[in-house]
Amino acid sequence: MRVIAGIDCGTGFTKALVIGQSPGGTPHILGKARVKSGVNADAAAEEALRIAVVSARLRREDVDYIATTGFGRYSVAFRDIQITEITSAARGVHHLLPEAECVLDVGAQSTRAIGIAGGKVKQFKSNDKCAAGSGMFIARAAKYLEVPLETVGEVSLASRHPQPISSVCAVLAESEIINHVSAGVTVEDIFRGIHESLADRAGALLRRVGMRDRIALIGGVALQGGIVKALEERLSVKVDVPPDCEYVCALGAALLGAQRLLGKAKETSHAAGVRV
Amino acid sequence: MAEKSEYRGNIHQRQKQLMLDWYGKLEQAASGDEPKTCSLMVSGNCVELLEAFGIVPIYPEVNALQLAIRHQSLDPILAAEEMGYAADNCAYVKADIGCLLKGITPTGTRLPEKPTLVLCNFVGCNTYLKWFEHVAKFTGAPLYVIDVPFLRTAEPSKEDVAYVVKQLHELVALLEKLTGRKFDPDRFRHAVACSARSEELWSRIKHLAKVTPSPFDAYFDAITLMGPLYVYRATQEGVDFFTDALAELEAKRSAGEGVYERERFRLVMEGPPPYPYFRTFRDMFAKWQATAVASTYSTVGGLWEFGFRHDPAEPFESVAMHMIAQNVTNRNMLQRYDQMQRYLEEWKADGVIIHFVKSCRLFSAGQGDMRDYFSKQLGVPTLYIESDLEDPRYFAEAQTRTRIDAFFEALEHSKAHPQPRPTVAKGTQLCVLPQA
Repeated sequence: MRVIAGIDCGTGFTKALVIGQSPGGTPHILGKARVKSGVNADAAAEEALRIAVVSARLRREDVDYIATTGFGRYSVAFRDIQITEITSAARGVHHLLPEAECVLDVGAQSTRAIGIAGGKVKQFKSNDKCAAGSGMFIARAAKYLEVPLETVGEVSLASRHPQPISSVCAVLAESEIINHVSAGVTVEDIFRGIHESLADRAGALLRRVGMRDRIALIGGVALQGGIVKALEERLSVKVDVPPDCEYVCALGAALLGAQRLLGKAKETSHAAGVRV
Repeated sequence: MAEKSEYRGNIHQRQKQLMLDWYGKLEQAASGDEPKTCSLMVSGNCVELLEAFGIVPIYPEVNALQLAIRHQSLDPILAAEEMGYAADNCAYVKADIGCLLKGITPTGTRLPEKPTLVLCNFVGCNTYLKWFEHVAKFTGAPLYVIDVPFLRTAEPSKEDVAYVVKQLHELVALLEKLTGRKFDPDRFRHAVACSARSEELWSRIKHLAKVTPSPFDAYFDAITLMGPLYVYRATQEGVDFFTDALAELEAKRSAGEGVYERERFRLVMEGPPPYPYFRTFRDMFAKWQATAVASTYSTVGGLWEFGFRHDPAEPFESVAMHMIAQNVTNRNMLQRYDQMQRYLEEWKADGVIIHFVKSCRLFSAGQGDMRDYFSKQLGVPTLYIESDLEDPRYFAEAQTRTRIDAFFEALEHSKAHPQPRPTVAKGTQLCVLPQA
C-alpha cells in the first residue's frame, strides 16, 4: 500500500488528509488534520501533515507522495505536485457522491461553482475579487454580532423572519447589519439573511455551470445548517453535504496524487474540460 | 517543465532601440520647433499622411502601456482620479492625463508639451473623443477630429470612403498651415508603399504561427512587434525592421524551434493583456508551455493577415479603407467572432482565452456572450478572466493563476480524450452584413 497526502492550503485553514491505496484497490482515508493557515503556508502545511500522519498512526517518512491544492499550493516546498482546488474538488466530490453533477465550494475568501461529469470538470465559475459571497463574510458578521462561528448555522436555523442583506459588498453589508441591530432585528434573523444573501450569490454562479435539481455543498461553510436550508429554499434544489465537507479538496488532491503515483494516468490531473 | 519563456532574439533588441529612438525624436521636439508632432490613436489611423509631412506620431496609448509595463501607471492614474476622473474611466485615459499633469514619461525623456496637432481619429471607441478633447485643452494644441463611420456593411460604401477621404483632404490643408510645408503627393505615396510592404511582412510573420510549433507567440511576442508597426510602418526603417524580423522567425521555423522546448497548447487570445503584470501573466501560460498562435489585440492597429494592404496607387482611398474597415475596433462583435473562428480553424488552436478589461468598454462589452458562443455553441474550451490593461489594482494574481491552471488541467484531459465538437460548417460566416 502506498501512502498519499493531500494538503489543501486554503486562505483560512490548511487541511491535510492522508490516504492509503494499493494498485487496483480502493483508497482508504487514514488520517486528517486542520490548522489555521496563518502567514506561512509552508509551515501550516507541514504542521497539518504532521498531525494528520499522527492521527493515521504513521510516520512522516511513510508518506510516499504529497499533492497540494488551494491558494497556497505553490508555497509548499515539499510537494510532489500541485493541483487547483477546482480540479481537486471535482475529484473529491465524485469519490464521495458519485452521482453529483454540480458542486458549490464555499471557502474563506472564494466561492466556486463547478459543473462535473464523472469526476472531471466540465465548467467552473468563481466569484471575482469580492468577499461578499464567501465564508469570511460570515466570519466577520459573527465577530461583530459576538456569536461563536461554530454556532452560526444553528442560530440561523432558528430564524423566523429573515432580514435581507442587499449590499453587494461585504464591508458595506456590515453597515446593513448594524442598521438591523439598531432596529432591533434578532441575531437569528440577521444570520439567516446573510445565508440567504450568500445563497442568492451562489445561485448566480451555479446557474452558469448548469445547476439542475441537486448540488453538492463543500467547504467549511457547509457545516452551517442555515446555509444548507437557505440554498434549498432560495434555489429550489436538494443540497448534499458529504462527510468531512471541509476536507473534500484535500481528498481530491490525494486521490489525483495517487493516480499520478500509481501510474493510472500520465497527465498531471484529470479534469475533463469542455467548457471552462 | 519550463516555467518561463526567455526567448530574446535580435528583434527584441531592435524593437527596444527603435522605440528609444522614437522617444528621442519626441524629446528633440520637446526642446525645439522640430520635428513636428501629432497625437493620434493607434487603431485605424492615417500615420502615412503624417509621414508625408515629416511629422512624428505621439501615441498616448503606447505611452500609457509603456508606463504600465514599467510598473509606473498607478501614480498618474491616482493623479487623474484626484482631479475628478471616475474610477470606471478608461485607465489609459487616466494614465495619460495623469502624465500630462505630473510631467511623467515612460522612459524619463521629455515629451512635447504642445503637439503640433491633436488628431482624434476615433474608430469604434467614443471615449477617445473626450480623451483627445482633454489632451487638446490641457496642452493648448489645435484639435482635428476625423469622423470615421462605423463599419455597417460587409464592405464600406463608396459614400463612407468618400466621406473619410474628404476629411483627409481637409487634414492635408490643415497640416500645410500648421507645418508651413507644401503637401508632397510623391512622399505620401512613398509612405503608403512603405506601409504596404511592412504590412506584407507582418502578415507573413503572423502566418508563420500556423506551423507547429509556432516560432513565436502571436500575443506576447506580437505585442513586442506592434510598437514598430505603429510608429514606423510608413517608413523605410519599418520595412527594414520587419524584413529582419521575418527572416529571424523564418529561421526559427526552419529549425523547428518553437517558443518552448515542447509546445503543448495552442491558443487564440482575445483582449489586451494586463500590462502592469505583463511578465507575470505571460509566465502563467509559459508554465503550461502554451503558445498563442493568434490574437485579436494584435489587429487593433490593422487587420492585415487576411489580405488588406495600403495601396500607393490609391493612397487616400486605401488609408480611408484601412480606417473604416481594416482594424478590429471599427468592426462589430460578430465580425470578431468570425475572425477568431478563422484563427481556431486555420491556425489550429486548442482553445480561447478572453481577457476582460474592466476599464475598456470598447473591447470588453459583449465578451460574456462571446464566451458562451465559443464554449457552448462551438464546444471550444474557453477561459474568461478579468483584470485591467493599465490599472494594477484590478489584477488578482492568485485568482487569475488558479483559473488559468484549472483551465489547462481541464484542457490537458480534453486533449487526451477528445470529444466531438458541435458541427459548424467550415467557412461559415456568423456575421452576414448587407452589401454596401
